[in-house]
Amino acid sequence: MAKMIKETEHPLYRKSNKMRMERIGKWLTFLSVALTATITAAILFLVFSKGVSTFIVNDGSVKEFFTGTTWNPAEVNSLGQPIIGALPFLVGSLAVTGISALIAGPLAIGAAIFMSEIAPNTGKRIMQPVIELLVGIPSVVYGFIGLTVVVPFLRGLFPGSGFGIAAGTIVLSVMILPTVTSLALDAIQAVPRSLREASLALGSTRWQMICKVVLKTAKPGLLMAVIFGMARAFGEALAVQMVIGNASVIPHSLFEPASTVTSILTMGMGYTVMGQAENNALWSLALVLLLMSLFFTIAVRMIGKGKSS
Amino acid sequence: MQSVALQPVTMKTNRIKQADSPDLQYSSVLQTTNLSVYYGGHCAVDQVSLSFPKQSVTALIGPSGCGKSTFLRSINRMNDDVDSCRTEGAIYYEGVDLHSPHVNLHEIRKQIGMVFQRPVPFAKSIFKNVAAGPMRYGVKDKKELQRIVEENLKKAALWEEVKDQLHTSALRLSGGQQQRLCIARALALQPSVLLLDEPASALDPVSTTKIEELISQLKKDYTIVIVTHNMQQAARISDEVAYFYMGRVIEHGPTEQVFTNPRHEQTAHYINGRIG
Amino acid sequence: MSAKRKDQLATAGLYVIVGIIITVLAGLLGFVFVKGVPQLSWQFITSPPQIFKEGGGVGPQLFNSFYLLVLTLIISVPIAIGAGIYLAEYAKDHWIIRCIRVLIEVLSSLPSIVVGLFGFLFFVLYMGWGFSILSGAFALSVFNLPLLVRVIEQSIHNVPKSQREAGWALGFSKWETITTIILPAALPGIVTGIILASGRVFGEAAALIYTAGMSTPIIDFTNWNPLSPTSPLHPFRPAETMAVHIWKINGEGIMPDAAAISDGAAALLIISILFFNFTSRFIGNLLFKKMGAN
Repeated sequence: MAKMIKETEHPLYRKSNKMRMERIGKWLTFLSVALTATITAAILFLVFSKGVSTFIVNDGSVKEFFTGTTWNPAEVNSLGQPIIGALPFLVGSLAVTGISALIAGPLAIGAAIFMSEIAPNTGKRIMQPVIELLVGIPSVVYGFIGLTVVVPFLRGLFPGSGFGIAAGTIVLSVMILPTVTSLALDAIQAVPRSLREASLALGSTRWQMICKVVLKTAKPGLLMAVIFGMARAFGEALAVQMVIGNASVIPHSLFEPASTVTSILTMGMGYTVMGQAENNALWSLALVLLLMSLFFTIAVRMIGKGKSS
Repeated sequence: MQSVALQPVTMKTNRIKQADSPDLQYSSVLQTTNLSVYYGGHCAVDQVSLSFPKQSVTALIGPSGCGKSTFLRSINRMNDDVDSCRTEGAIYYEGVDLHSPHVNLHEIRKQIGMVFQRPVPFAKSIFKNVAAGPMRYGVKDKKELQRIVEENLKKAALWEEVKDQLHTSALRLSGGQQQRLCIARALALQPSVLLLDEPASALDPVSTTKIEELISQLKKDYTIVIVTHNMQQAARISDEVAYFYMGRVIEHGPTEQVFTNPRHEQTAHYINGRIG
Repeated sequence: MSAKRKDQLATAGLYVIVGIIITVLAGLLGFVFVKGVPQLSWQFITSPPQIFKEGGGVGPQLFNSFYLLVLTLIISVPIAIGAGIYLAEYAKDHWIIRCIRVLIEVLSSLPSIVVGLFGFLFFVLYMGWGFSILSGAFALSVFNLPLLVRVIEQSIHNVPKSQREAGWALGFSKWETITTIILPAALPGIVTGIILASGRVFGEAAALIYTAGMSTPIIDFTNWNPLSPTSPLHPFRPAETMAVHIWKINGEGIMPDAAAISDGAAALLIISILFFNFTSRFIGNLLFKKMGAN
């Protein structure tokens, strides 16, 4: 017993407030993480619950939503269901996303190859900073230039007003080009030097080395870069809305006014009243947008996982 | 929490009073009994019992992977932060069981200082590197901090080289200077034991000599345990040597005896450069 | 065709691609500057917009953009630093943590219009803040958080493990080590990241049209009492930013010089982004040099 008392006098038994600070710190930082995650969960929950109310509260038909071509949620059809044919928007969104990926993807990968393999010095010192700068240009600026340059240009070349999927695609392609280039460059630069040298040492030309070694090894990363660009294009609202013409029909050509999911959301949300069928139908579109962005995220993750294993 | 918690710690300990107690009479400040350390299923240190006499230098030698660094790191419980690591046996510091749940882990590390293989200065000024510890322990007075910094930089034989650039970044110093700065930083907390984990192995010969001279100086005030791969270094600076092999201590004794007349053949082989 | 010939053709093709890209991007920047910079004047930057006639400026919009940015940073930076610390230093490989990481990644990939709609629902309607600076700042914070968290976590992660051990060996608790050693060492990366994120926040419009609103009431720049409704600082007034203004006047602007104003505003926006970009490089380098780590 006497020994116990003696022992507790030793400075090593001195209590300090460090452990309490440690606990407080750990909890505070955990709360920040939890808050961020909770916000995401709240967004998912809110958009989901509002998005399905079209089908649950207003008796909208899921089939009509995905296949119908008439969008007039304020009215009901003969079955008493709101008219919510969202196909024109879905087609519009998929078209601008797909075509701009087809345009921007190869250009971006070409540029990345150039910056990494052909002219690494110019690439690193001049092009890379410029590309990084362009990643930061606000999308409204792209939309504005589309409106003042691309639309009049198309109007001069093709019949129609110039607004339409073609204009939207051009704007989006230019907009995602820096992002995709920058990510593609990362993917290509991650290919080990030794692989390239081995290929060149075996007598390959530079182009053979690029095709057989660099592109092959970097393929998952390049795919991720393009999907990332597609996710951005699909979710872009204002730049597209400014040039696509905002007609809720399926266009017959790329040069006729059309709509995307985001453009209709941007236009409509301010003119409808919360809780009404028209408004709920817009939230269903928001849900589609959210699900597509989840889909892109999952795709990127899957490719990333496949790459690492 | 008690208000005691916040009180600034004066740099005096009541070590001497402790030593008077008949229960706690000991010749060594630090000792381990049957200390074992496991990483997952692997036994890195196997039932090591060693005692370290006051104000002496003990060198831990042995081939790579023999557990000497792990042993060193378990003394100030640095291995606590490794998830898969488990420790058995006991470590006594001034008679206190360091594994007792009532012991304050941070006090242990304050009293048992440690210097690593590679110099790890903080990305701060030289002054702030040395003052970091005392400031954390409540020394606020500027004059007092200046005194502490000067005193410990002098102890670490660095003062003359850096006294005019105390407020420049510590990262600008050479490797050898950085290592001495790390020693000064550890000394600033007034530890009684210093654990040195191959402190000179990443340094050039001139810096190594300086560190060795420094260790011989510090011996007057501190109990030093040093891990080294360099036999000449062990012979030059240590009073006692413990030879580790496969997690066990094969031989432990006064340096002169171990180096000139080892009891185990294996020790002789290692010292003569046939193992490791 | 021989391999050599193919190689030459492919190289030529790459040069053409890069030529196209450079032309497009240079043309884009050139267009904005050539048309926009002549519009810039002190009067344009400071005076309020005109609805029906020429000669309006973007003074309030410019102020709103900066005010929203500052509020957004005040809200999001502390949370992001906390979250970054936890994820980099405390988080173990546990299923809850993995879920949280996925959620943060999902948040970073959500279209900004979705974030804006969430802000509309939650801050504008549910919290009852209306179209206001506060709603906008919170929506932008949600938009900004995931990116900031990632940058900060990465910067903290890049500090070598040995620095942590050195701190622990001095008897510092984990928390003390983080706050006094790791965070200062990670500062250049964190500051650079925050400034770059600021550029993104500054140009964001989709998240704002349904939160901060598309109008600015008449504000009196001599009244700095945040509680007064005409004060620029009043948190519950609607606040159209530069980016939103560009979008709005191109859709429904009826002033005769809408195009000229958009030109000027777009140039101003890009100049601001350039400014953020260079500042982040400059400050990052400065901090790096000051710490002597080079």
